[in-house]
Amino acid sequence: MAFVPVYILILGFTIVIDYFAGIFVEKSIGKKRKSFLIISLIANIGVLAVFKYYNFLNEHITQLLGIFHQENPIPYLSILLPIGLSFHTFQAMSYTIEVYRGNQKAERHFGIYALYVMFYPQLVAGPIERPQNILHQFYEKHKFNYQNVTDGLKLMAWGLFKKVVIADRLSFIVNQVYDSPADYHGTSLLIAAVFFSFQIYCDFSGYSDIAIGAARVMGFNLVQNFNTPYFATSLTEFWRRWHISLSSWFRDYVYIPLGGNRVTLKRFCFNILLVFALSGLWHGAKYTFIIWGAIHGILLIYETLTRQIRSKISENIPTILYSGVSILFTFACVTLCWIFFRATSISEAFIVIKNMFDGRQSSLPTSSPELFLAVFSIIFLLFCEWAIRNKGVISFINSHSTPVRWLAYTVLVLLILNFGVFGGSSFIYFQF
Amino acid sequence: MKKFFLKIILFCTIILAASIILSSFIYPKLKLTDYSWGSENLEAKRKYLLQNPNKYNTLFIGSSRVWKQIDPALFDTLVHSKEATCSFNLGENWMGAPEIYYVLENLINEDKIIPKYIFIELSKIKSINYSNIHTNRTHYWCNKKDYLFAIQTTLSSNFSQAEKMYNLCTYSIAYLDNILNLGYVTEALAIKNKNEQLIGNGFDCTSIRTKRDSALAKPFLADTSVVQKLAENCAAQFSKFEKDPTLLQKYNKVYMNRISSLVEECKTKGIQLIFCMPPRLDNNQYNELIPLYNQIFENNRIELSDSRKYPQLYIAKNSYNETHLNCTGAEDYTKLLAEKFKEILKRK
Repeated sequence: MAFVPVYILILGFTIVIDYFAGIFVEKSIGKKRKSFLIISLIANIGVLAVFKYYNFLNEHITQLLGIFHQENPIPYLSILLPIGLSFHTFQAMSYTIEVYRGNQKAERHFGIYALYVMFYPQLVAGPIERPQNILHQFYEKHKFNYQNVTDGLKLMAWGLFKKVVIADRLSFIVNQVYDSPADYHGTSLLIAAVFFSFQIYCDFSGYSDIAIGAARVMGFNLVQNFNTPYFATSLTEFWRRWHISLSSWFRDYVYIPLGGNRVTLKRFCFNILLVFALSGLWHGAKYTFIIWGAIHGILLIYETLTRQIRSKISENIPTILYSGVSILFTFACVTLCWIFFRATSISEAFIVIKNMFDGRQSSLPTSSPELFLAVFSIIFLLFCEWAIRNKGVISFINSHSTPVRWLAYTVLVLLILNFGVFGGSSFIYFQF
Repeated sequence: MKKFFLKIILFCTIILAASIILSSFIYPKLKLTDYSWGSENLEAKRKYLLQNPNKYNTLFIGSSRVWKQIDPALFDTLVHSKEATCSFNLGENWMGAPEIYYVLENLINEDKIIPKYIFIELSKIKSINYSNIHTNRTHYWCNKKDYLFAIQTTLSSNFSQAEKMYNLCTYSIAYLDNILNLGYVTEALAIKNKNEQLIGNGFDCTSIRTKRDSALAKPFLADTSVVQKLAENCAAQFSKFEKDPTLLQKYNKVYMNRISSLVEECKTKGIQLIFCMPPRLDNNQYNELIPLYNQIFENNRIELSDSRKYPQLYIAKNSYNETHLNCTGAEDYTKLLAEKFKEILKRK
């Protein structure tokens, strides 16, 4: 992952292709229309393939040829992954697809279209916007709006809190454990796995809040990307609440065109597995990501197949208890999947799982006050998330009286200043 | 918009007031941190000195030019005929003014540490690298006194306008960070968690030898012209001041006042403070330090910078890189320092 100035040209290349593709798709009919869409998709996926998947595929070709004692003549590319590539190519693709489907008029103003792809708050890590939501906003006049500015700043402060106070604090412990997972056992690994679940949530949702907040300050409304996902009572619900802009992208452009759930059971299972494996692959050219996606797919299939049985069981259990157990079970499944996401290899992920339950214990690489602070910050987060779960941060804050609001702002900013980790660590999703 | 900015000003004032209350009243009562210099290496050295209060009577304070170039054991052997010193190296990478004076002042205020001689590197006001603005070290030394000293010294120096502006910005940001307790709790916990052990006299020969005489230094040694240029440049700078002695009067008065007060403060505690001007400086440093050095009383200064007088400090085979000596060079440097110190003792 890197920002290399010359990589702006790649962005420029896809912008030019998609801009003209959009116009030609709109103007054309029949097969010609489809061919312009395909050109656009090939250009975008091609860029993604070269920068993200080329060396991964080439490595497999080398291994395959190695079996036959042949040398691979295809050279490896020593290139860095442009920052935010997966995000802006997906956003660009959604534009041409929507124009093709007739849901969006082709954008004639080149500058506006370029801005759609490069809008800075969400360029590097989303949310992945749809043209219907954002393009028309670029034509509107945006004057200083007190409400927008203050709402945006509140959201940014909340995002910053999640990033520097929680995510970066948890990363101290998580990184040390995952740097040498074989050295840890039992609850240490369990705690590290749980901590990573919260780290990645606070890191990514923190970035999304900052991005949405920054856009709101300027008068733009971006789509919601997270909605208290760890309170989901099922994995289906989790995926409606986690990285919403990407999940809905795969749902609308891959899952539904494949037939969605209105197909045979076999085909449905295939669709789910394919979509989630692709979602894993979107994160990076590594088997750990594919496995992460595939496990989610398998669990979702299991969930769908057992829906009726579970529904019957729930009738005999108090709702609050059933919901509580469901939330915990969903969180446990998600945490298990995160192990594959975080581990550097599949074997390492299995070491983590094996050592977690091998009956041995080891101490965490941290002091008691730091551990206490980490646990307390998670409890504080859960408490806040529970409070805002129905309204969202801004509506929740705005529903209180001025003194309460000001007290909350002061406490939040003081917590960021005093408890923040300012080591300059990047956002996890910048690498995708 | 007016309403918005008024609210922002009010909010910032509340945050500032709350931060001051926290740092002045709450944190001292909570005793989150034992006193620290904010550097693992320095902190380990401080703790070691406190554990061995009467062992060392001579201390060397400075940057890597001190840490990796002055061997206390060799120094003690060389000056033994004149004075029974037992030295300790308190050097740390990148430690320059004003951090160096912050460390010195804290050191002489420690009741348990009573040195007889303190050698301190004469250094110009360091520019804080952008990445170092928020470090633990900055958190400690960039207090009101040293912030004002750095700013006033910078403004009254002959630095370029760009450097003055840069220093003004970075020092102000670092100081503001400290007022706002930026990352304070995190740092306090991190420092509590560290238990670096130090054995010896602060001069870590093993790691220095492996690093300094490693293959990394070889390409540098192969090109003698770099060191040659350094020597020529140094000679030119010293000649410039010799040819026009009026230039020596253009010293930085703010900086000189601090030096004088430090010398006096040490004197009252029975410590002889000796400012050492190291070799291989850049033009800015020569311009700032030569006039200052000239103002210091001769029993409180040692100059080992002039390439014409000390050519052995400007030869490629004694180099680790452009600004540092290797082990052989460090040995020569320590020998020269001991000789100069003996001259001071003779004068006394």
